[in-house]
Amino acid sequence: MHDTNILGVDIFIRPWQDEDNRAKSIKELMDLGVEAVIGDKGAVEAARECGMIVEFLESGRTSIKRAINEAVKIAKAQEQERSREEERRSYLEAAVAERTQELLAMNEELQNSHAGLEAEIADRHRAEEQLRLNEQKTKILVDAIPDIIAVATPDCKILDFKVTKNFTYASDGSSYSGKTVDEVLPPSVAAIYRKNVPLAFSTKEIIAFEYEIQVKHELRFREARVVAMSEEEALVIIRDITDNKKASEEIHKLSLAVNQSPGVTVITDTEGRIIYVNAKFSQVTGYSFEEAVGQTPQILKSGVHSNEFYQKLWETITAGEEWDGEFCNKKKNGEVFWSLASISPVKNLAGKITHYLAIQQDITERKETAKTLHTQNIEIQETLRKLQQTQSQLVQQEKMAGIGQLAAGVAHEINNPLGFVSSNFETLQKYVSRLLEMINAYEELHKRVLEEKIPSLHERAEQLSTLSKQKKLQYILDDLEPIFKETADGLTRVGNIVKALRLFSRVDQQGRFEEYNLNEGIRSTLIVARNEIKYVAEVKDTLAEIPAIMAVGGQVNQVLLNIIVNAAHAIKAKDVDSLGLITISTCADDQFVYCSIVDTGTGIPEEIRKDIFNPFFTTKPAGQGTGLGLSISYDIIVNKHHGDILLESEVGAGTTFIIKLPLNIQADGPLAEIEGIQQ
Amino acid sequence: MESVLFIAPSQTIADTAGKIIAEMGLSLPVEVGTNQQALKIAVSYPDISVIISRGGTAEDLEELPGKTIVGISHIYRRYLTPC
Repeated sequence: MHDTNILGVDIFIRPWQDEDNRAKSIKELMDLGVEAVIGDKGAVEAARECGMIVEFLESGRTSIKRAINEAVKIAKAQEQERSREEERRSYLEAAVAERTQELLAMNEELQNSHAGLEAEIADRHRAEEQLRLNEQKTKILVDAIPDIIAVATPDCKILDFKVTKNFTYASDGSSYSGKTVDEVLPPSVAAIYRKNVPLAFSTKEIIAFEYEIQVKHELRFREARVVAMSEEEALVIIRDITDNKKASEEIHKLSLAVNQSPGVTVITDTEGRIIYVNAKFSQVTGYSFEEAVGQTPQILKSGVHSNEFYQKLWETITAGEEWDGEFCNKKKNGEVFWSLASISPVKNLAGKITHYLAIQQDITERKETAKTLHTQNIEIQETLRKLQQTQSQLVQQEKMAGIGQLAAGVAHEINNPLGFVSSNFETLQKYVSRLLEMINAYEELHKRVLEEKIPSLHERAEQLSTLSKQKKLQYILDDLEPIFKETADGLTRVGNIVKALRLFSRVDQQGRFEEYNLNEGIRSTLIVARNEIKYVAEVKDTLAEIPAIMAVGGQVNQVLLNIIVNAAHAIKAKDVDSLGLITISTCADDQFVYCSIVDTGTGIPEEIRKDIFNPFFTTKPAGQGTGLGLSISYDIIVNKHHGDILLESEVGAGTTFIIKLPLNIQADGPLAEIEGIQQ
Repeated sequence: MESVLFIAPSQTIADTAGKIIAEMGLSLPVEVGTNQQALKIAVSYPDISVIISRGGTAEDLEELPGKTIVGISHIYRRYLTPC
């Protein structure tokens, strides 16, 4: 069995049966006549003289192997070539870079060389220009320096001397050059130079000294600085410090003045940090100079002022304006004090604020005094007001009392003639009555003579009849009775008025508490007030039987008059056509007698009711009311009689006043009190 | 030797080539492919500069620029003519 045939060669393919005896198997195969044994890996395990097969079998592998070898060789050759190429390129690149660098360096060197030359030339030009400018500047500088600049030798000979404007010389400064200090300066000053100039040469240091010199009758202060420029020459700079000296003295004096000032002085920077405080500050606040400096004025903050207060302060002073006001500050020990402060910005010559200056004055005592004075002033004003009120009330009462006395006086004066007029009138009535009887008798006789026609008397009787008619005798006789009646009524009314006036004024009472009948007081008051009432209101009185009380009748009547007249005015103010009504009634209980006076007037608004008993409060037009009537009434009833005045009112409907007076003022003791007051 | 690629036209040759390469102590990539397929394989190895192949496939690979093609001159299959 063969598996394939190649070029007439049978090829059998079999697996190895015994791997371990591979050589033995191959020999057995060869013994069996197999031309060749080819292993599973393609290798010829054994072969006879059959070169074609071997060649065949080997040729494929050989071709592959050869190709691989060739490829590998080519690849290696290519690799080597690439390596060589890389090396050559690297070498060339390095060579090019090196050369480029060399060229660049050469180029740079060349440029530098060129530029250096130019720069050197430019530098030289600049240096020359700079030198020229420096010389110019130095000259300007030297000219501008207000000091004298001189050059001196070690033996104080002046080699050069710069004349300076506004510098007062002892002699003509321009002629100093070439002279020694002894020749141009007073001996005392020359001696100072003789001492210090050689010192500058020996020490090689700047020697500074001051001296005084009399120049044209004026003492000037000079400051000199000497510095050796070489072994032979020294620069001498002389400055006139007279003004500085004076300013310094002024500053010193000012500083002393500020420090010893009785006012607290604080200087801060623009951030508000304290940089200076005077002795008074330490004395007032308790903070020493060292403690205060570096702090802000907030260390004095008492908490009394609001942030807005401080904000406004800062706004004012940072705007460049002065702030004036009062501070409440706190001392180091916590005690507060008041100060009157003035804070001003301090500006430099450019107008820029550099510091703030605060000058404060301790006004705590003044403040307390002012507070005390204010309190006292208020108290005095209150006392004055009360005095004025009392005075006004007294004046009013005095006026009322005067009017009462006047009324009483008038009443008394009227009462006397009224007495004999009334008496005569009664007598007259009696006489007329008798005359009438006689006239009637004569009339009877006259009638009889006429009726009986007695000749001797008839004519005379006729004449009498005529005369009687002419004289209207009968009319007169008929009118006599009403005349007498009206006259009697008139006299009675006059008598009542006089009596009422006397009762109203109670002048005989002299402010004493005596028995008083309130009803009688009302009646007499109504008579006195009749003229105020009769055209505006009717009066209705319902006066109950009430006991008499102890009172100052004249004063109670004054109260009644005030309230009744006010009622009439309130009704009049209502301005209605019809008459209003004033109702007066009295009553009593076991403690008090009461009198209510009700009117139908305008009423009193709620908002002013609390004020109507206050002095000088009035709703009447100016000049028509003093505002004292009700306040006096209140004083009389409440304070003097321990009673009360009550008020009810409705706007548009009317007002009710109720006067309440104690029945037994003696038993309770108020009378004693009142009498005590009166004494 | 990563610069040599073996593109075998058959798996048998690829196996044989693999064995030979191993025997030679080399380490070359071996791929199986013919003609256009072989071209794609070759392109997928851009770092390879030498390609081993045979016959028409080798001729096709000659078109690749920059690549050296080494052809297998004889191979036993040429002799494998059916009886």
